[in-house]
Amino acid sequence: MSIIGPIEARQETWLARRDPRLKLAWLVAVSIASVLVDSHAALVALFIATFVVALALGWRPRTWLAVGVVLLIVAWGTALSQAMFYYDNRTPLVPGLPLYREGAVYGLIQSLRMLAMILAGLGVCLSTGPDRLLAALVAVRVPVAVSFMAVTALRFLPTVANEWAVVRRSCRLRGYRPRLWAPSREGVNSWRIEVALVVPVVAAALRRASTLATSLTTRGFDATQPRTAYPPLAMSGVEPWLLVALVLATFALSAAKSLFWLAEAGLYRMPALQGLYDLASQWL
Amino acid sequence: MTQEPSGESAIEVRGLSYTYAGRTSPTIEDASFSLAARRWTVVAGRTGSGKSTLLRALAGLIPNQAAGAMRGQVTLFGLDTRGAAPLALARHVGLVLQSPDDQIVTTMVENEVAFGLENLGLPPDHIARQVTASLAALGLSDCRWQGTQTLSGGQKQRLMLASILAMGPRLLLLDEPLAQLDPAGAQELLEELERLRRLGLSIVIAEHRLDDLLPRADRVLVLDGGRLIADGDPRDANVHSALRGAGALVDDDGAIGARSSSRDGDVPRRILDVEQLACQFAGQPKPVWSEVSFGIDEGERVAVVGANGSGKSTLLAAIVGIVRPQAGYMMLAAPEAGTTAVGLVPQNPDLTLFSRTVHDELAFGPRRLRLDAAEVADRVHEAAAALGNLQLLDEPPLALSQGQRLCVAVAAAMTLRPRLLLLDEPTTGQDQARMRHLLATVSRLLVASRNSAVLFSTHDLRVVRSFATRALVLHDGRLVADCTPAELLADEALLRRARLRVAGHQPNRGERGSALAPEGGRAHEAPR
Repeated sequence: MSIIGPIEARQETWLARRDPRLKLAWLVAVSIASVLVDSHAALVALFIATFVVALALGWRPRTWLAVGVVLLIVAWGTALSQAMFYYDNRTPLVPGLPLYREGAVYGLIQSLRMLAMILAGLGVCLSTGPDRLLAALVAVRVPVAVSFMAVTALRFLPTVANEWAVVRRSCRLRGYRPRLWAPSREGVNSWRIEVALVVPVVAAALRRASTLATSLTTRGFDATQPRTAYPPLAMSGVEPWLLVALVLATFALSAAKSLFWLAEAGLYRMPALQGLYDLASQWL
Repeated sequence: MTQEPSGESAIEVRGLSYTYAGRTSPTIEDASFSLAARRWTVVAGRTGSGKSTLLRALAGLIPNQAAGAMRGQVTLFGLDTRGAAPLALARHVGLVLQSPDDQIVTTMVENEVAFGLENLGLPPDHIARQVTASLAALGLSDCRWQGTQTLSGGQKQRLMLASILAMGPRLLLLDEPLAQLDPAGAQELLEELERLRRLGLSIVIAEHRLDDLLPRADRVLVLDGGRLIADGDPRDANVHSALRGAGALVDDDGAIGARSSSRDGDVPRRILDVEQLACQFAGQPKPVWSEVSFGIDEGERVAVVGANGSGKSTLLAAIVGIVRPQAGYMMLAAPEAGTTAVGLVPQNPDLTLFSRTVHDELAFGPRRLRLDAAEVADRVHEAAAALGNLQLLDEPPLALSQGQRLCVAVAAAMTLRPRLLLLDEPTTGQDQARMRHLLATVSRLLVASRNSAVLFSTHDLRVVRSFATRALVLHDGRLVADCTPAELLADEALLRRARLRVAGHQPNRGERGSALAPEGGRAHEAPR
């Protein structure tokens, strides 16, 4: 073992053990929904749905902490940018500063789109082994070269993170204390050192990539050739029904919004669908 | 089933030369040999002699996956490697590299063994049978559903072997497979390879740990500076002579550096106190270790020894604060002015090298201590002198050779004159000559740093014998011994219990401290 320490074993919940194609379908459904829906209620509902699913995946507290930080940054960034540039009916948040309450609220609501997608994406990546994810991506016709690169990056992400921790710790032991907003005594800004610290991590990643490429080649990996999925992907129990429900719900949502937009634009309107238009207008 | 080696030719190499892109001189030059099937061949030579390049040529990676220039021809079981498809080669030859961590693709043991078979496009039921058989053959059946990252170093190496063997190669190439294994793990791997050879597999292995290998080998290829200087029976006196001439076998000259553990006339001062320390990773059923207590005085060179997975590196990580212990306490002596309490060189020393030149790397720490320019220059000069090569100062650190990078990393840590220097497996993957050079460099730096102490992890008893003044033995989650190297090496029961020596295995030259077997003498067991 290296000084980095072992990567902890993951305890899988029922939801985390589901077929990876079902998880991909969930991710696609959430992505489509987060683009299509506009009503605040629907966006909140979508976020709550992804949050509940993420809860059911059984993440550890420290995983939640990391995810929480990401979500907060996204929400903060969206709210801040909207608060700065909002132009309609605006009330200053702080007198004298160009930040507006309506913009901040609007930004927070809109950030739910991204938060839902992030939660769904992280849910899929953190609950699925790279090998199963690769099999699922290949099964849904994503080119092997693309899907293999993606899942390999996921596989080595914890290693790179741990190496980064060793680099920083070694540097601190050599007396380095980041002072990001002040030049150090010898005139070298901490930012330059921070950038330089990336070099050993990148160099290690390149060496590892070279070794991995050698290993893959000698084990017959060829992105242009068909390969078997082992163990074969097979949905069982309730999984096929969940997949059908997801597909139908996504299709229904897309159809409802499309018909609503066509009617709104005056391109196509059917009086018989007035109920659908009202529903889409109020809830979607 | 035992099959005697036959005369069938597995490998034919004719006039092989290879020059890497951007280099002017060849790494392998005009090598010609043929190897019979079902034989065990060792490729020996110092680091940089071309061993790995030769293995890559035998695997067909050169020239098919390399940008350099190759001359000559390599034929595997009648198949010319030039232009051969990776899939075609993968059916004949398997390659296992030094670091299993960098070769493992998947996150579960079963899927890792299946990976190559999936690439071959075999039906799932066939894959299932092959996976079961390979895991059983390598003693990993119980780990089938485990995560690959939960395995020990030895288990990972066996997993890589199982993954390759599942594909049914006729030729197995291994590039320094023992480098990261403890002695017992290495013996187990070699016994497994011996069994496979008897079942008909041809084996070519490049390795520095020749003491373990030569008794089993049918043949040795000795490389020196890219040239094949000897090719013959490992028991042949000429081959032995060539091994020594090429620096693959080095006379053990005993202890390295002065071992004074105190200032002249003074009682050595305590640098580190560890009391009842315990560490357990989240999600793991057992602690890595617990109730660990010891102290280190200035001037000491303390080796932490133990098998793979015994927690040696974790102990070092706990001392520097990368890992947080759950119980116990540690006290480090406060550093004097212009020094630091602890310095660290991790197992991969490249992670500490980030400056543009070696000079900047050496000066980085002293500058952070806000020393005046003259003192910084003094320390850089002192470190460069210990490295023994002032020409290096203007070189980019990451462009140096592996051994030089390690020495620079140690020197950079020592320019801060830490009271305690931590070295994590510093000699792993080093040949004997470079290992002794590194330890001599550390010794010179210790002298320059005025009574710093060193705590280093290793499972190499040669290093313990030649460099350490004390040994701490970790086994089964406990510190089971705190003794002198001589006491450790004399305690056969302890060594076996801690997997540092295998029953029936004779200590090698470095552990005994004796000279090489005389030329012409039979240094190892009788030939098969």
